[in-house]
Amino acid sequence: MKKVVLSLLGTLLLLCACSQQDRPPLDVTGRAVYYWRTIFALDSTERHFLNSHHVERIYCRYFDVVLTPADKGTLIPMPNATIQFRDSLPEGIELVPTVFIMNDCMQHPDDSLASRIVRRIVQMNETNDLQRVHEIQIDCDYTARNRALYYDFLQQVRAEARHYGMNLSTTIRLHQLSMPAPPVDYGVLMLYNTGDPNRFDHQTGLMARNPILDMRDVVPYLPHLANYDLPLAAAYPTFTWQRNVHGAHIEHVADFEEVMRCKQAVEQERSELRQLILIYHLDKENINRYTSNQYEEIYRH
Amino acid sequence: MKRFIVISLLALSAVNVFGCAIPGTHNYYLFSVCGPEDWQSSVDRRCTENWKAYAGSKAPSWFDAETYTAIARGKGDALMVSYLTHLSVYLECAHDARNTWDYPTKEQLAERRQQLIDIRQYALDQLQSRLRSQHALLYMRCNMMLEQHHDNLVFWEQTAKNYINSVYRDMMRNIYAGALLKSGRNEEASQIYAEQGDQQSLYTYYYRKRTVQGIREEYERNPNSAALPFLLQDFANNAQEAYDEQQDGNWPGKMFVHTVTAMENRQMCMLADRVLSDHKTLNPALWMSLKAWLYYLSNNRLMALQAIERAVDLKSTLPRVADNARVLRLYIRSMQSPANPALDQFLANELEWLSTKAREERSADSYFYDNHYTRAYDRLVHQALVPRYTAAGRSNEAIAFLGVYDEQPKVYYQAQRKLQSRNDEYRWNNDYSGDFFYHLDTIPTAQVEQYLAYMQQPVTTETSALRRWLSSHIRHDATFLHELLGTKYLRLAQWQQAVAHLEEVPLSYINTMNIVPFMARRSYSVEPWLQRQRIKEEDQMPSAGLRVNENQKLQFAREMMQLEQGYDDLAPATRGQRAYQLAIRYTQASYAGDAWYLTRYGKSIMDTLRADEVNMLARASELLATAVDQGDSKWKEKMLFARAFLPIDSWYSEEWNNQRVDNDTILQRSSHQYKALQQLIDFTHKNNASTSEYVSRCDVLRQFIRHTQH
Repeated sequence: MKKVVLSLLGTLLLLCACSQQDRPPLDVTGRAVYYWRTIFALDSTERHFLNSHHVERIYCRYFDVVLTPADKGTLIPMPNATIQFRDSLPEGIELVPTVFIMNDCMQHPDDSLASRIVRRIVQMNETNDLQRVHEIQIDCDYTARNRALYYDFLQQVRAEARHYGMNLSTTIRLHQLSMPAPPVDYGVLMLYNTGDPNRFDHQTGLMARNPILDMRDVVPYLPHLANYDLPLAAAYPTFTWQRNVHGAHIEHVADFEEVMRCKQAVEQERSELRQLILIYHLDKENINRYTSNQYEEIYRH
Repeated sequence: MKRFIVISLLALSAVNVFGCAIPGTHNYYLFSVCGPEDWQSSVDRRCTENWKAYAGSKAPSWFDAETYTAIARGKGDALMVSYLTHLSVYLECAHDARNTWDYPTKEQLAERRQQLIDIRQYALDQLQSRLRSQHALLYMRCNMMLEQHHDNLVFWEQTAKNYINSVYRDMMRNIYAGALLKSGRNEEASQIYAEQGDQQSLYTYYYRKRTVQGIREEYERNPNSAALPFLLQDFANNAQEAYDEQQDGNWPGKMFVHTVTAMENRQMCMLADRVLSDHKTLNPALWMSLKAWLYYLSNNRLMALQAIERAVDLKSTLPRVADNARVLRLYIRSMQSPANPALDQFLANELEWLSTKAREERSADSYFYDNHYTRAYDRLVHQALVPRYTAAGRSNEAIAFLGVYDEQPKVYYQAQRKLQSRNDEYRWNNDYSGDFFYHLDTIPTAQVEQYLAYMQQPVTTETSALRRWLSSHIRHDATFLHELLGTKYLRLAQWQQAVAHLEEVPLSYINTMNIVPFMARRSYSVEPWLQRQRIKEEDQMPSAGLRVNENQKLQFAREMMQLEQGYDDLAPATRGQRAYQLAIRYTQASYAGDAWYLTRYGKSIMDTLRADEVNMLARASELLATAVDQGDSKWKEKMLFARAFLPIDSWYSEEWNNQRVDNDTILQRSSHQYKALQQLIDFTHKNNASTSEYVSRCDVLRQFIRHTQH
């Protein structure tokens, strides 16, 4: 039986090797941040952070797409919480317009949605004098149920974006690693919001795990990484999350040690994940959460 | 056994999906004295009424400049045509371009600014006309968009405030309040917002003043301040939030909660006492209701009941205050009084009143069923009526209260044809979700049988008022209950009872259920350890063309009866065959089987053995153990393999190892699966030459071997 096992293992390794070779390489490198606010204005701390850590790209949330009631009780996807640009982009930094799409929009297929999103992004760039835009990113917490619709939609976005010389990336949540890869140029693996915020230890009343990042939630997905058929970048958290649960004030904090454990584990599974590293998200409060050296550790290639 | 790994991969994704699910809440705010309309809705409604008055029967149900312009032209009303033309241009400029698909170009932004300047001048020129209020509003709107706030201050104070009362004047005053805020005159602005019921703006202004001290100061400044109802409602809801957080199962509420402490609660009750003794307020019912509710939230239930009974009889200048007192009385009395005929009678009256209020509050063309009164019923049912009537041994009424809660919105949406269009698309049957279904699905069969009998009793003049009210608000669907009971009996392996109920369920009903895609494509007689019955994702949703020709549940129950009949009297060899057939069926119908739809309504990887079902996997294991020695070595191999397949308890568990940043595998040597796998290995060692392919390919077995170092 050992022989059978060995030969099977050999075949598997061969298959893995083949699939890795077939996969195109990630052709984006460097350091990046997400910008997830509704007004684009950078203060001195934020500018200093971008400069001192040699951040080359800002993945900037341009707007959300949400289902909105229209005439006669129908629901249509509409842009929401569009960003206002009140500040200039620091010299040498590339902007990646990012659009968050509510999952339920995918339950209402709309053939014009892809072109509307791309055209709107292009117009926003033009109106706000934003140059050096070569890519669009779509963020959606798609599930197995609407994956097919979402991938069709991404294909349309990709075709539209190509007209304007732009590539397409998408966010990948851990649970999405178990599905076939989406039709985009690369994915950003979200290594945050990994846990279940409703999971309490009923005896202590405390959170069983840190919902921002807990390696126990990441490890089950590690085996998917090596063969996931899409170039991948990695995004790590710096944020906190405060809420009041059962009378207790709870603050979830992205823990630096856990981020490093996660970085080590995912890069061990797939070295490509050290090529492009993003931090979620740029904000004065978040910047002060870790030391400059710690950021360098996270960004280390 | 590769399927084991497939299942575990699916499990991982399912776990995550479940992580995103937000449980329902029932701890809605009960204290509601502001509204029901917010400022924006009120303005929309009054404007629409004005336009309807102008256009008569031709008026569309929403503002449509083109139609109204045509009507004005038909009337020869040149001024109105001119106003509408400019209003349309203004609305286009003001429309939040940041949230439309057509994001403006630079040129469009510049053009819009120029258009606003032009419209502003046009409006100013028309202030002596017949439509001066409308034009004055247009002028102020343009100033607002152009950020000419000082011009609006001057214009309102010197001109517009003297205009006659109208929705246009109110809108100008609201814009004026905004200009006051921009110029730092916050208190003046807040009073206007309070008088107008503009709660959104009030939240902003009073954000840090929502305390006992802040409310006292407001009262001392003006005992009948327009902001007081808003502030008291906010305080009551924050106090409720603090109370609810201490109770089990409640979901944390709104953002920006100001947590009210027990001390603040007492201080507010003292302030309410002072206000009531001052006799300066025009709304004693408001303060008394607040006091009653705060007593209740401090667990002074008796004092709460006394205070709320008094509040119902006190006067108020605000119409909603009296209704609020009545809702609070309904809740407090339901929580205090025993579930006896007196409470029944009270509930019959008050629940009918509550239903009427819910209908009245919902505008005729409302998309949504929910409003303050439906949410009050939600809280009342879940926190008071169901637990109290259940505790009093009156489970039929408890179930019926839940039924009304769950079914009324479904009836409403079906009538509105809102959900129906979705159903057409997805063919999704909503009857198998919601609290009513979950409750019936989990209580003992005897209680459901009783409820079925209760609901089937005819309503006569002798029937109690409460029973009559419940009957008139719930769908009498015996088929639904028969199907549910049949399924519950299947879970209990009580085949005869299952057959009795399932025979009452027509095939046409089965074909409306969400399990049809599975029932149509799977069979319970397939050997689950040898063949997995996969269904593509896209084929798992109910669809219009998919039908079954037989109720598989009924077929299954009858077949199981037949297979088990005379089982003990069979000859050993035949009994072995029969045991294997039964084991297949028990496994398939269990929570882990492909034919799970026989015993439940949905499938999750989190499923485990329920409290109200027999352990079908354990039965299958026993049957397979009986069958092992009833055939040749191939037969024995298959029986052992089948037993090792059964996911009764796993051969290993995982424990997190922080040092390794990975899970450690802990062997569970006394588990069913460990022993079954071990037996299978022992057998294969003895029969190495003739091991079947399905055994040698089994990846779980290989994994087991690796960990146990065989």
